[in-house]
Amino acid sequence: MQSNSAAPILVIGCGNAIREDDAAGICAVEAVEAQAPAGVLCLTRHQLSPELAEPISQARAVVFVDARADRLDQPVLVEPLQTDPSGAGLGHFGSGGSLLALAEALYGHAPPAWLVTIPGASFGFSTEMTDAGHAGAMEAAKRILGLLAEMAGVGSTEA
Amino acid sequence: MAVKTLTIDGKAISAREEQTILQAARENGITIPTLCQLNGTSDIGACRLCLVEVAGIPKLLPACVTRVGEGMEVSTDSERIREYRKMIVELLFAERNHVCAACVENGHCELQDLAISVGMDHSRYDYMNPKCAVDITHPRYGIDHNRCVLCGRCVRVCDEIEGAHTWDFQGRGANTRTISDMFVPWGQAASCTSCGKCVQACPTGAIFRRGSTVAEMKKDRTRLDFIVTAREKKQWIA
Amino acid sequence: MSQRIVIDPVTRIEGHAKISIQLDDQGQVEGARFHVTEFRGFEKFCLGRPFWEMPGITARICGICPISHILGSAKAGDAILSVKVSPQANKLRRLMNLGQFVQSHALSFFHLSAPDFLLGWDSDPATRNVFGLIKANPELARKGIRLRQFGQEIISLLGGSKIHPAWAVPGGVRGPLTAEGIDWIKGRLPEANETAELALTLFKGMMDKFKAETQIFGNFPSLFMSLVGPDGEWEHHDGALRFVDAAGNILADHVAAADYQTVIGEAVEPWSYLKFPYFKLMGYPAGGYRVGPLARLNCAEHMQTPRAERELQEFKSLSSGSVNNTFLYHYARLVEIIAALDTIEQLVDDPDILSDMVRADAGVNNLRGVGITEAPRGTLFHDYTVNRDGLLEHVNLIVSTGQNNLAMNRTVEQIARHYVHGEKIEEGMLNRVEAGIRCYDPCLSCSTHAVGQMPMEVSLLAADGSVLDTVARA
Repeated sequence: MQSNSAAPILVIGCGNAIREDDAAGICAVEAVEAQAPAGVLCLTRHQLSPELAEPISQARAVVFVDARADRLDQPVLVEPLQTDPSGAGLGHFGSGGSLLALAEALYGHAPPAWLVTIPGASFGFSTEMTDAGHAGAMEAAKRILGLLAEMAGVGSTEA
Repeated sequence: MAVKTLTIDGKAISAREEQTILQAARENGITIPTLCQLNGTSDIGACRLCLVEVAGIPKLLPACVTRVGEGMEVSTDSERIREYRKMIVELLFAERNHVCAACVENGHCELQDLAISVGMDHSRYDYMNPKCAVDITHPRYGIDHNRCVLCGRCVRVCDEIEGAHTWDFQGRGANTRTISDMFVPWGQAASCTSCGKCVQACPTGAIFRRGSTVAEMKKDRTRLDFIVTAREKKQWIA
Repeated sequence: MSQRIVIDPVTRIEGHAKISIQLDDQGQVEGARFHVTEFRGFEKFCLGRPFWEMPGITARICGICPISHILGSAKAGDAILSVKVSPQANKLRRLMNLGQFVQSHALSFFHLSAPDFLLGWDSDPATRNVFGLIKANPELARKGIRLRQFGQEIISLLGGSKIHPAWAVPGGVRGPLTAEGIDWIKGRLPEANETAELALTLFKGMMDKFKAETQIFGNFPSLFMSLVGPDGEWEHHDGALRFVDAAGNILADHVAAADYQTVIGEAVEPWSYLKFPYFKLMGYPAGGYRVGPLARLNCAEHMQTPRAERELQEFKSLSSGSVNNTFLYHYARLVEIIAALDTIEQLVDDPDILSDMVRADAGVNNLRGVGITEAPRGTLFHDYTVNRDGLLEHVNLIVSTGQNNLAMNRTVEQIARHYVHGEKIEEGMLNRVEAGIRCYDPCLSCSTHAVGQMPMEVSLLAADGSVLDTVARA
């Protein structure tokens, strides 16, 4: 399966909506969804699971959005993401990189991908995010929309 | 019946003199966002979402309670208005605890729709996180003050259409609460006829059918319209 | 005497799982602990909400088994309403739960565990994972994903495409299946059956190969608990609790949901926020029990369909009493997939699942309600106390991973005894500890998932509590 401009760009946010800033990825993607250009498919998940590999393999590009629990001194980061064939860990969840590797191994194609991470200030039990986490999610949404606009500018035709 | 001519967003229109800017705009297919306004009940200009600019008047005017005037130049969609509207919606979200994900109204909520239409992506104001109660003492309905925006639709629909006046406000400012009768639990409010008009009138998930689960509540405003039409025009049409 | 230490930060769970292995004065393994997320935080923030909202709220606790929480919560709600849900609604709930069994067990088997035994523990750890499996057998890996999709599609056909469908509600469900849904399920059933049979044949064919391994993979006697039907048949949603011991004797039977506290106690340990459920008649910690696929097959006497019954009896023939070997959780999972597929096939032929008489309407008729359901990983309890209006005053959730916690500790301990030598954590031992824990398929989804957290961290502690070695799996 080859990427083509008619294939959607996937934006996948994941996190636990009742663990404070763990929800930052979901929050950011919901904000993106409200303003996303045509041809962008926004998904929110509690966690990344392997069946996403199939839609990922058919996408033109993928943007994973998640909260971050390390490098807290750094702001929202947008980084290119490589496939990571080191395999699943203990539970029913995977990383963006492992899903890319799965898409490639199972369905023959891993599209270009980015990982957007938002520093989380607290991961307690609450449906409310911290102000810092929220601000981070909004900043991430802006960056993602910028990224999407950039991608739309590069060789896409109106579907 | 005197007719006034005016422009709204550059469009020349004519309106009856007793009409408000909101009514005139709607008749001419111009949308002005509203929240507290509810057909068939009096307009109170409480939510301020329908603020418009009128040439020559420095302050913004609520379209729902401002009469049309001869030669008025109204704009409903300037940068300044858009900014105010967004700010109002953000303030509404910051004032109480609106957790859409777990709300009975999720997906059918007027507040949620407003947030999307004004392009709100977050609130610039600190969330107040007030302690709010849930009252499900009524056998059929419940009110969750976390989700109340104090629009007063329930108060007016109960007073003006049902005629019971079970609902009213207590307190001022951020401490305002919607109360039933003389501040008794809803289930003990003797004046309540359990007609359910407040449930249909409520724009958010604040007043809901008891037993509803997430995203299950969908308000049916046409049922109120039916009663209003019947009363005002003596026409019993759905 | 060795010292017991291990408080912070070793017991604190920031990521997914932490394991601490305690050595005694002689440097021998004394014990091991698998620390999991505490649940009290969830129980706390539900307070004050109407119990009708609980299916929607608790579904968010877990990204893997939201359906279990929805069903457990709806059943607790049924008890508060004091209603018996209609047979139609019950069949629909059962169908959804079976869909969940298939999707969860398929993922556990094909993606998490199969690499361990299909590729062998002594294969290169760098390729002994799902990617190694895909390389060795790409078709099997794709079939595994298709089987998981089959289960998930059943869930979405019933509950809509939402991530957390609050479709089961106190009093019943929100809607029936459609005729198109039935057609879809029927169309995909043959393929699902074929995949399940293939996996089962594959597993049975390899049983001899890992005989030695299985002896140290948490092979210990323990109690088992699960729901069983009125005649002792396999059950996943209705029925009542049964306890069996390692020899297969029934210790308690027909325990109704509302009476669970007559047989289950919850112990508290100073080193953990978790509660440790145990079988009351045997006290703590002797009354520790296992739940999940292995427990369900040990408790059940029969399956409801001929094919599943054959598989169950073959499984039971592995031991004269209960099957005590933790490694055989994998086997039990496959037998349950077969049973689930058989039952799904029966249900989609039942006209009741198209009925719209699926929701009972009632007020608060009971101030307490307990809902028990079998999640893929084991028995799940939702215990609510409400005020007269239906606002929650107390919530007690007992999840499967909590109930398996003592057994997981023993499994890790047994593996560590064999593979820990000296003061370093060797790669081989880490692999086996991981594989040992995977047998239980612990649900760690209620924890957070942020980037940069450790999926697993293992610490080796000296008798004085000092950390000798820590290895993290990224």
